[in-house]
Amino acid sequence: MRQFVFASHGFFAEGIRHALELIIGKRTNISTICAYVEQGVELKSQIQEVLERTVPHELIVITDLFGGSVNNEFMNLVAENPRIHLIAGLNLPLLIDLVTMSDTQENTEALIEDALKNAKASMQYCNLTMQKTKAEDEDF
Amino acid sequence: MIKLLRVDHRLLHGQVAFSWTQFLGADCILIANDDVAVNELRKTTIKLAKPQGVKLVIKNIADSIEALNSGVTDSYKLFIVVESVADAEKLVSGYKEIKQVNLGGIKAKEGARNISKAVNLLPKEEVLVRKMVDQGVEVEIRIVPGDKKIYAKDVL
Repeated sequence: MRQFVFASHGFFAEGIRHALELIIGKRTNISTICAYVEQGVELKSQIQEVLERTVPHELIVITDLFGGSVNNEFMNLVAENPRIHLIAGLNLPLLIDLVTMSDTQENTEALIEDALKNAKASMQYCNLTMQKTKAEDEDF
Repeated sequence: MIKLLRVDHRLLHGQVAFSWTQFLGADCILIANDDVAVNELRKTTIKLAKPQGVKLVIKNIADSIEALNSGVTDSYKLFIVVESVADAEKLVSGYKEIKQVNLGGIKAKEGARNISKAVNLLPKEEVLVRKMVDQGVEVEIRIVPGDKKIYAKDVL
């Protein structure tokens, strides 16, 4: 089974996991890495622990910030670990799509491409969206 | 075909739009509610929350029962959402093909008893749930699809 890792600066990763599971229910294939919250705990060793624990499964890692140190740390691992897929830009629509579609989509690249597309489309300036929405009433 | 009738005081929101619709394989959602049918703001909000690729129909309770009985819904994998036990019972009484009612979220209010999880029932709502159970309808409590079913008859 594919494994997911949410990784962030501070407690964001743990918080968004909580939010996700409120919506889609508890999942056993998610790990979180909250960086820089405990003195003396190195990000490198947090990552190493997750990598070892999830062998040999495919790993989809979602970090909070492209260019941030957490993402950079994983970037170093992608080249030598073909089982790691790295996505930057942790957000709830993305996670809902990834985790729920993961059960039925065999192709990991397609899973990620679709989820990214949907997540990007779900970011909206709602005031404008409501102005523009002249959605017709549907009937059977 | 009716996939499920769910009672959820929030009607169409994240859990319903993403988890339930996908889990049920529904291709059409019916929001049966007397207020939403005439409240443009609530209607717009619900329309915007609609999952992609799924048809969304909003009707008041009477029109919903009429549509169900007319057969126009037969070709859909239909997921019905209502906001109260009273509305669910009206649909169950008005359309005999509904054999399963899922209680998802019913807000706590004055005089209501918490029977399980996010489900709080007034005495008169408990009577309605019993009535549906006695009619042979499976009334069960689940917040998200992966939850284990808790049967209302066991916790009333």
